[in-house]
Amino acid sequence: MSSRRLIALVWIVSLPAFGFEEVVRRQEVDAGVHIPVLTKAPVLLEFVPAEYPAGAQQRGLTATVKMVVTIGADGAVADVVVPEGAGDGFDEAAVSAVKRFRFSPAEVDGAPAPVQIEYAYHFVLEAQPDAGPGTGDGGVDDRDAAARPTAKLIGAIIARGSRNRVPGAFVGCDNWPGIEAYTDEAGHFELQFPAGECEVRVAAADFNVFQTKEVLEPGEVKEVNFYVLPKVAGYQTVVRGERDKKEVVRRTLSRDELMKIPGTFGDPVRVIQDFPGVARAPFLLGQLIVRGANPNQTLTFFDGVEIPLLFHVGGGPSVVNGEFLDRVDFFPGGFGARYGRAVGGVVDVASRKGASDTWHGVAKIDLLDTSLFFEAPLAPGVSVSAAVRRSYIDALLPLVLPKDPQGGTLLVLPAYWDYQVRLDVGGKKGEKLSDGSVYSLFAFGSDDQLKVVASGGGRNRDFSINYHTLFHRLLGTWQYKKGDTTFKVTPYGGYDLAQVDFGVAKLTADQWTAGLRADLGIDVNRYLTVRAGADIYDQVIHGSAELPVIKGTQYISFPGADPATTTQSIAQDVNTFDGALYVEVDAKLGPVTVTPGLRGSHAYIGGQVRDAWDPRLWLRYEPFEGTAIKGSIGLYTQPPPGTSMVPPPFGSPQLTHERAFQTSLGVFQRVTDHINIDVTGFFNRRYENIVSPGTTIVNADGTITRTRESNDGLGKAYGLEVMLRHEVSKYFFGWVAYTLSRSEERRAGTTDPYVLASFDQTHILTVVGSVRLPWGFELGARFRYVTGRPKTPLAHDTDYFQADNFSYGSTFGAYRSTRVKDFNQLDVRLDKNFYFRDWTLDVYIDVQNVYNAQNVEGTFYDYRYRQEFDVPGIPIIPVLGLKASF
Amino acid sequence: MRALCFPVCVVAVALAACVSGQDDPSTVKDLRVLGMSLEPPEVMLAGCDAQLLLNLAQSADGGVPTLDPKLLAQLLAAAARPLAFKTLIGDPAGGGRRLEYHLRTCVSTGDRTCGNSGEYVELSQGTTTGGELRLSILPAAQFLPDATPLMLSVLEHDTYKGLGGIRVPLVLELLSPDGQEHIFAQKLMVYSCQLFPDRQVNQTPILPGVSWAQETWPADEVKQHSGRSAVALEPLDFTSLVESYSVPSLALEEVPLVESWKINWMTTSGTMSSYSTGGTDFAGQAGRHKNSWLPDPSATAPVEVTMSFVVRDGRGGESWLTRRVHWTP
Repeated sequence: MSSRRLIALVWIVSLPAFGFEEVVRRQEVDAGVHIPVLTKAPVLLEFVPAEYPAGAQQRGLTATVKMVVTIGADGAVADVVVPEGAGDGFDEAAVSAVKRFRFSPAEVDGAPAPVQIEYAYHFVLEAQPDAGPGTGDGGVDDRDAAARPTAKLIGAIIARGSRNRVPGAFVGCDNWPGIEAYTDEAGHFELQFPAGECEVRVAAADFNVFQTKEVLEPGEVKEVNFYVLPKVAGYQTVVRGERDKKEVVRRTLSRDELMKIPGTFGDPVRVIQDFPGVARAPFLLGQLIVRGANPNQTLTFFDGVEIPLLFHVGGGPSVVNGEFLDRVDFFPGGFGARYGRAVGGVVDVASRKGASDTWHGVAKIDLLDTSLFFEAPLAPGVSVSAAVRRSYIDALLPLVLPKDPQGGTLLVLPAYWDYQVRLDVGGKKGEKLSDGSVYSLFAFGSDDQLKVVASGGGRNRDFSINYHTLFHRLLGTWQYKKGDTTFKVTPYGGYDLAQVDFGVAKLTADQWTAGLRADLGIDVNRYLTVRAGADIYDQVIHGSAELPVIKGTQYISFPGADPATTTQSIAQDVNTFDGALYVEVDAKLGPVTVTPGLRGSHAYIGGQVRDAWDPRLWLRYEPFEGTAIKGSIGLYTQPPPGTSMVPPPFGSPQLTHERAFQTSLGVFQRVTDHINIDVTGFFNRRYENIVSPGTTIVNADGTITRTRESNDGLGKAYGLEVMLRHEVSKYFFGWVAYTLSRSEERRAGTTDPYVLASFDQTHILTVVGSVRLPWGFELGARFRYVTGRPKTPLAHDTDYFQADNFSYGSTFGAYRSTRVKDFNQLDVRLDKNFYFRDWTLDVYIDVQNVYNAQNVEGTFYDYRYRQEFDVPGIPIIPVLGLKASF
Repeated sequence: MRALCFPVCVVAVALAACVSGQDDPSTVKDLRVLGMSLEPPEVMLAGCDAQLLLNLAQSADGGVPTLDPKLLAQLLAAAARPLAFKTLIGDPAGGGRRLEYHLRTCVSTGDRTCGNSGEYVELSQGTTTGGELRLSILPAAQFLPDATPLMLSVLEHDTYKGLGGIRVPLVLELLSPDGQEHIFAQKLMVYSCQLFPDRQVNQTPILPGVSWAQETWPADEVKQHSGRSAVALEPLDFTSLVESYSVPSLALEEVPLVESWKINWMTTSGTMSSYSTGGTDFAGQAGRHKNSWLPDPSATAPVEVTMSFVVRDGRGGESWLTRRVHWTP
């Protein structure tokens, strides 16, 4: 050691917000199992230098020893394992030193707990100090250093491409052994050294070593930023606070996964369609058909507040900018009492706080739209984030559409935009809530318009549609924690508009909503946790219409040519109040956790009172580490929409809640640190479903009362869902989702037997994988195989002509007794990332239906119903995009 | 998710339009029924009101009949009124073959063949050829095999108990000699309650004529046409013949309506640019009646072409014009 200097370059990942992807496993699919969540990372308090192996030193060898270090709940090193030895005595020396390290205790779920980290010890040989100043190699001896005046280098270590601050990075002067520093959580460092030259060396986990020279005058303080280049950038996961874990199945995806699934065009919410239990919707429409329920029986929430639509017009992208998402939770059934008003599933999209280190931004451009995202800290503990997106299909489409073949005017102009703005006070991104309060204010909204005009020329009929929907939401959140009690209250308000102009007909619905969510959680003791809350909203809908008198609804129509009528004005106000209270109790008895829950709601819809009580029960048994058997049983209700409760002939005021009895039983097994499997069986019985038509009654005075809908729908769905998943690691994530199911329905009050539901799909197989490659490449693929949807076979025997309306009748075989052709498709996405000093450019191509499978999405018939014709699915579609992140 | 419904429908309609390879309904190439008419198209029971209709319906449902003698007399008169039944049969490939026909009436509009046991009456049968078949019938005067008056049984099967008119179904069954071609064609005869004092009975819509290349096309003129060029067709102005009328709403209020005629254009060779023109869509937009005939691009020899233009008024009235063309390549 006297002739050569030993510098130990040490790194430790101690990020509170990310970085432990290789360390503490965070379960993304908790599947009802209690998954530990890292809430405080360990920090190295006491470093012990390793003895340089004499033989290696003499031979001039260097090495890096990677170790898996187990840190006890007290911060002491309990075990050190070297997965791949470096040899030449380096391993033993590194292990011996690391065993004497001292860390601050890590916390898991808010309590000290043992954790594992990956740790690398770098052995580097340095030149001997006798070279001295003036020798040209920069070396100096210790006596000289102590006598010289000092200078100070201060600054930040910044990741090239993202400008993320790099905490835990080593900064030292190679020519001044022992003078070193580590960056703090914000990536800052201060390095004081004898004035003169410092051969700067920066080393950090997953970054290439950075070297430079700085020459400072005595007493000089110089501020610098050093940019370090990431090695192959790994997937990062986000450490989040503890959440409810009682549901039998909760599928959760983090943002990194959500943004890179092939075939979704980078749309995070579409990824839900790749989960078990979700039937494939036709084309790219994005409907959520969950465990046999109708699409409108699965509700979508954004930060716990219901939103009226999930996708932009015509099955476009989701209404929430993907950069704004923290995660997407999907409950195919058996969801907690916190959620209600749905008899299918629930999707809860969670937004994320803005950055706390520095400002960041993302700009994304593709053929459909451009979006911008921005986040920045405003002050300590205060951050803001904002996003906006605007489509330009309306500008591009006229350039590619063919000239009107009729010689008139042909316009198809879809347009959409959305925005999100969020302000957070208190706490930092990714941090678990500590005692005290945090606040946020969040505004978001969406606007969709579709204008289709086909007029003039040789047309016999002008066609004009103006379709416009929008919504805005403003919500505030106050979250408070003290000890084992947490309280969160979210008041919100919103405005929705739906408007359709079709010819002379104009329909408009304005909706104002005010609501409140309040959630209280108390960990009474280690055996008992109580959650309770309120979920209240009040809606006022003002509907107005200018439209012709409606045949069949307002008068009895005759088959044939529809008459011209006078235009009528209709206006209707509907008030809806729905207040719900819920409570759940986790009772933990050893490996068994029993969670009874109850949700009660009182609704006042269009003057009608509707009450519902939904008892639910969850059971979880964990016989072994990494194994859980879980089950649920419960009632679920969904109130009729206010617009359906208006008086006849436009509504059906007798409607009551749709109901479902949902049960499930499953097992979760962790296979390896990265791989787990979840198998869940389910049986759902739906009843009092709202179906059309309603009833027709001839009254004593000769008038007729006809309702549009009734609660006569019955349904049942049962099946098995399998999710084999490789969680997010540094280089790979993916899953295999398989669903075997059957969904049937019938109408009550008839002798009709159960028939297959329209979206029943026996086998649904989805394989998703994405891998990080060298040189900034990333490759993902998604393959799907789905049984064809049911259809009723054509059984033409003879022609049936109806002379009054000049149409032919059809003859079909047994109702929904056959299926359209099975569906299969492969989608691939390739990303190439270019890293610049301050930003990263991602160029990607997302190709739908790579091998151009000839899928079938529907069936049409000739005018006499003699022949069937398939409606083809989408062909191969490549989409090129650019994404710049700062 | 509900908001998806509208765009989904737009997409579905657009894709349906993309499906090709279907038969063109404007081309009559095999045995078809091209039109059915009844004269008069409607029989109205003058002075009939909702209560009388309700009483009639109750008697049909097995209740105590409390028919007003005046209504009963009108019912009997209506039932005894003969109807001129006329149908247009297209059989361009038949070569004048004899076709077997049966004309039946029955109790349910949902019975597409008028073949439910005990619920139909055969009005006529025999043989005919392509072209027009004319018959005189008395459907409302019929009794079912169990001696129930047909009109009462029709009312019993009607969800609205006659408020939209007592709609008596007539079904023509056509069968080719070899049994390979078989058609059932249904037409509804309406016996309606006047309900409102000024409500007028329907008159059969009749096209005053059509134009060929912007010139009036007389009924007896055989047009000579050569080449593949399209020829513009249009009905002569009939706006003065369109009737205003009214129907009862479900709440028994008078709903004023105006006929919006639809024309179906058919040809035995070539195609029409539009199979159907006119009418009013559900959003209240009226259609125009521009059309054109496109000669068969595959024809290489002269063809005698028969064109049929069937007009409907949307409440049971129907008639047609036929014209002939001699086409040469």
